[in-house]
Amino acid sequence: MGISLKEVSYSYNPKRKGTKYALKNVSLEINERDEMIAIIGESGSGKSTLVSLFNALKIPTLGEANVMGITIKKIRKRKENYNSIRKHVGLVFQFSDYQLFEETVLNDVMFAPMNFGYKKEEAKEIAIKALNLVGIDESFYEKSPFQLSGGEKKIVSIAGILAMEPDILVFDEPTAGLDPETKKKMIELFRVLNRDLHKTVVFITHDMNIVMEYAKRVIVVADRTIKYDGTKEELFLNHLDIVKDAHIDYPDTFIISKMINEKLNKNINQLLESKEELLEELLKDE
Amino acid sequence: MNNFVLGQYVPGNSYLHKLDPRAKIISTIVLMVAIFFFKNVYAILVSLALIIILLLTARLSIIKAIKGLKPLLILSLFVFIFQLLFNRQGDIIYNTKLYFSLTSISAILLITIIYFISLKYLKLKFLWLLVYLSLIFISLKYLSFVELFNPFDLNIYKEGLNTSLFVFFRLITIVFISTLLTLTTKPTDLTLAIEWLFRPLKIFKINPEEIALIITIALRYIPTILDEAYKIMDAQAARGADFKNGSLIKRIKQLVSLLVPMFVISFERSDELADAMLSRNFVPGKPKTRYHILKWNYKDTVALVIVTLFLGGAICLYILP
Ligand SMILES: Nc1ncnc2c1ncn2[C@@H]1O[C@H](COP(=O)(O)OP(=O)(O)OP(=O)(O)O)[C@@H](O)[C@H]1O
Ligand SMILES: [Mg+2]
Repeated sequence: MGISLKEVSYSYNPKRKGTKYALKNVSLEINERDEMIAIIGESGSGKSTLVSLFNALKIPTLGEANVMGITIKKIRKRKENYNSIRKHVGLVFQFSDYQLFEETVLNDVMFAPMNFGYKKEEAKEIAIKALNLVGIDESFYEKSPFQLSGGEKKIVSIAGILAMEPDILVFDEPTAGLDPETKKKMIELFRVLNRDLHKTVVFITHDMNIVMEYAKRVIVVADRTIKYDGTKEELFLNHLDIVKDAHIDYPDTFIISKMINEKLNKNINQLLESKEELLEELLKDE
Repeated sequence: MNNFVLGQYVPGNSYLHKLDPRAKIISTIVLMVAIFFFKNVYAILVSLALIIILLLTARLSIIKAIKGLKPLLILSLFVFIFQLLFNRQGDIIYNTKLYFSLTSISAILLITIIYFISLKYLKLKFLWLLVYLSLIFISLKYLSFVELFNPFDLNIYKEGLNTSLFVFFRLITIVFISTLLTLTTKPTDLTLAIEWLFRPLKIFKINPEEIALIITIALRYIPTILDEAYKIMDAQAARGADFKNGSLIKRIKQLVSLLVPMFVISFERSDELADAMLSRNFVPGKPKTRYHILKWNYKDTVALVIVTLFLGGAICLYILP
């Protein structure tokens, strides 16, 4: 169960001759519970394409995906019904403009529960719960999603997926464009979902500090394929070539501890998850 | 999506490509007018043949041209059948009895069911429709066992057949002519030409540049808006909307739920576009430097002379008894 891709390639215009694949020969396994995965890689490397394979929004051009026991494959016959996949795997789009479409914020968040057969009142309850979780208060409910600021749109679109109560939550750059405090709140919310509700959370980000602090597993996408899939420690310790080739930043803690080690001739662990831990380590060392 | 009406342009180097778009637009209009002066089907067939020769000598694919017919095929088929059945002038050239019997009606039901089921799996839908209609005709004609009503006398009259062929081919010829234009002319050139042709409207204080701008933006945004529709469908699918199953009413509801955000988003986009243009110093109505300048060539004059002669010929045929 969970998500599994087997040698999947994806092209946006497969019929054209000499087509370029946005993703080539990708294989991976994601459990349906308890994972906290960061997907990183430079712009245009194929991250968004990869995650839209997770809930069958895109169908592999080559190879096959299997999500929650349902096989997703390009067949010429009738299109399969992938609705049950969407209930299990919630995907928050990179561009919230594309995700919001209802007339009011509340209606938009209610869209998913209504589709899964809840009555209007129940759907409203679920929606309000989700909006509370992300910290959107009542004064927003009747606004049009298109009147919101960029960051507010992002938060509402996250609520729209939380309201679906999926097992696996996939966020495409959830923190881009958020102020530092809201950013922190969102990512803490993901941690709660993962730790307390045992959900699998997958997020795409360009922020290595978030990766270092929150992710358990890291997937590096570069050159249209997966270049690395494993722990963050292993990546930053033993695969610096990949980090360099994929144009990935180092986390602040990594850089600072490295500088301290070099300049002050110390031997501090470079793979600390947060600045607080780094400080602790330093004090211990004194 | 790529076959969309005005996005049909196929880059190329033929003499049709090289003609000035103004000459092409005027010629297209002149040719279409000429076609309407023809009274018999032979003149139309000759024109159609000429158009096809033009297509071929310009190395354009006939298949593309036929694809341009697609939206009109069903319409022309029904015009054809309608004329055939209800135009009752001239001699009867074909007569048969159609039986509405238990056997023929059940056969039709069966064929209809098979037709609609198989429709989902087939590519050449139009051909299939033709097969379907002929199968219905065959059942009505031959399956007379256990009659329920009096048989229907089907008469086809000479005039009816003529008119229906005439209307059918005229429609095809007109579409081919316009396809010739859209296949060989870049949308940007088209708008430039339209702008030029609208210049006389300046007398009425209408700015041709604005009209051209409106057309350009509309052309530019058709694919974007389609794309937008697909994105919203994705967004709805990602949250469990079901497009493939469900009753007709459910699907209509889905469609409405797509249209509302489409409108909202289109208005949003138009605001954004206006801002984007203004912030790059666009002033409505102010003359601006052009990327392309249209050049009239002697070949364009030749083309115009030829089509005008053609129109003259058509008018002569019309007036002469
Ligand atoms: N709709 C599309 N049509 C054609 N090509 C596309 C489309 N969307 C993306 N691509 C191409 O696919 C490749 C991967 O795009 P993708 O959006 O997955 O990148 P990404 O890693 O998410 O980048 P970013 O960090 O900028 O979001 C890019 O080279 C892009 O040009
Ligand atoms: Mg992306």
